[in-house]
Amino acid sequence: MRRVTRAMRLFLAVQYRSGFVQVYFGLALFTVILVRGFVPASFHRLVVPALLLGEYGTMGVFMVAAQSYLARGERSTLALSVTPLTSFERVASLVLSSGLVAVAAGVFVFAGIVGLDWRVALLVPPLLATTVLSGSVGLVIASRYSEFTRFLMGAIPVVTVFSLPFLSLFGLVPRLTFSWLPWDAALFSFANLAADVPSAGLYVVLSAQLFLFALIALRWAERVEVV
Amino acid sequence: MILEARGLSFNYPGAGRRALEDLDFSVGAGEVFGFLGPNGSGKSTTQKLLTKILRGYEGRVEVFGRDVEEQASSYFNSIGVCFEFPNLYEKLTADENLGFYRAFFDVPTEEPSEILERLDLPVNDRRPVSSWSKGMKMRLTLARSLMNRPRLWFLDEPTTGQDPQHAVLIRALIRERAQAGTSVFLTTHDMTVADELCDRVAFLVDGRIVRVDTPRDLKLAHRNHRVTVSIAEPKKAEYEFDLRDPADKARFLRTVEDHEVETIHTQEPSLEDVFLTVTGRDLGGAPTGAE
Repeated sequence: MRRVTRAMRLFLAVQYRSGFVQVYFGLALFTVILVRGFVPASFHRLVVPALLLGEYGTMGVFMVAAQSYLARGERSTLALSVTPLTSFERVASLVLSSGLVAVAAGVFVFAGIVGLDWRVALLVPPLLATTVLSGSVGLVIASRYSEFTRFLMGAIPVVTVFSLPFLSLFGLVPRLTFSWLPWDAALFSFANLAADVPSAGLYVVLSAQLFLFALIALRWAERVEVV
Repeated sequence: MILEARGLSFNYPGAGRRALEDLDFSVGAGEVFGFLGPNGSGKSTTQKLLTKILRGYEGRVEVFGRDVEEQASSYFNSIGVCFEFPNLYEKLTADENLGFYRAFFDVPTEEPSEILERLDLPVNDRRPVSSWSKGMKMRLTLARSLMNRPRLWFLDEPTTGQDPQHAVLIRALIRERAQAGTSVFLTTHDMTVADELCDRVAFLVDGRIVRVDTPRDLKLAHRNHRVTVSIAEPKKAEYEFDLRDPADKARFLRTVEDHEVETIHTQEPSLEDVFLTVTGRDLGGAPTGAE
């Protein structure tokens, strides 16, 4: 755990110097200004969950992959591979560090639009699990392509699948249509948080389910990691 | 022995021919062991296997008395790896690169400022590493590989991209560490570096070791006994003598005695000459038509 924390500090520093943190928070600030200025409050229970999943939950696909390509260009992962850091610790710290930035930006958006109260704390577990899931999927896709532009072509269908639960959120299909997708649970949690407090049991079950899938995705990313 | 390989073989998945074939070699404590060969001979593959970057070899390779494949992640506390190319976090400073890196080890580490100074690199430089020259980046990569005070130090072409002054500095550092007990596994195709630094060298061609010996014994085994003498008086001339021939030897002594000698050169082969003779390849990997 100590090594993961230290690796996360390294990756956070790299993300900051590479402008990833600035992109996340710039987008968050822009989003808050836009929604507060132009979207009526009655729509917030739809808009906020969509923003959280669309901008921060699933953006990990691109952000983590971009860092992976950056590291490949520098061959810096090769340097980490000859330290006591294990491959799982390496992948987990990369995905978690990106996830932390996404969660912080997501919390900023939620607090800026819905308000800053104790519900914000409930936002963290499902959002973090979703970012780990999407970041790991981003690494898996990145492992298949040597160029970022080709990666984008491969990632677009995956992000489209990530966006399917929006159809049920906006009432275009029945609510449970995409409940088999693990990140639908995150959207459901976000929607409840934006409107009111979800039931504790359901919240815990959905979050646990998300973390389970996030862990599976992380293991998958570890197996195909490009050093 | 610090490192002992017996029957080390390796095949890249899908490759027709084996990258490494039945290698036997060992490295003792404080020994500088040179692994020499042309590009594509299997030097880097061997280093990748020994540092667990590649997996799945055949044979037995023990480091610190334990098979490399069975080594836990703590193995990396005891080895240092300097790659052939800089692989740094280019947007971070040198101090940050070393500072973050040293935090991963569970053993006492070097002070970054000391190792930076030792390698003639700036301390507290606020510029990102991306603004540094290639030679500086290589020296920083070398510095990083020393952060955990390794017992076994893997070096891949450590003087690449260095000006003569810094190449001397690096060679001195390698000698200093070896004298302090660090074992060095030096991968190179620079025979001058190998000749100067290595206690023993292995010649690797097409994934096979064709000879292992000390540079001195290799050169002695392939020496010729010819001496060239240049004289200035009565007129400039150059003579060659074979010292194994008693008559020629006597003529050599008379020449030295009777004339003003400008130069005398023995014609001992360089390590590169020996490599060409033994392997029949030059260091670019092309056949030479020799032996």
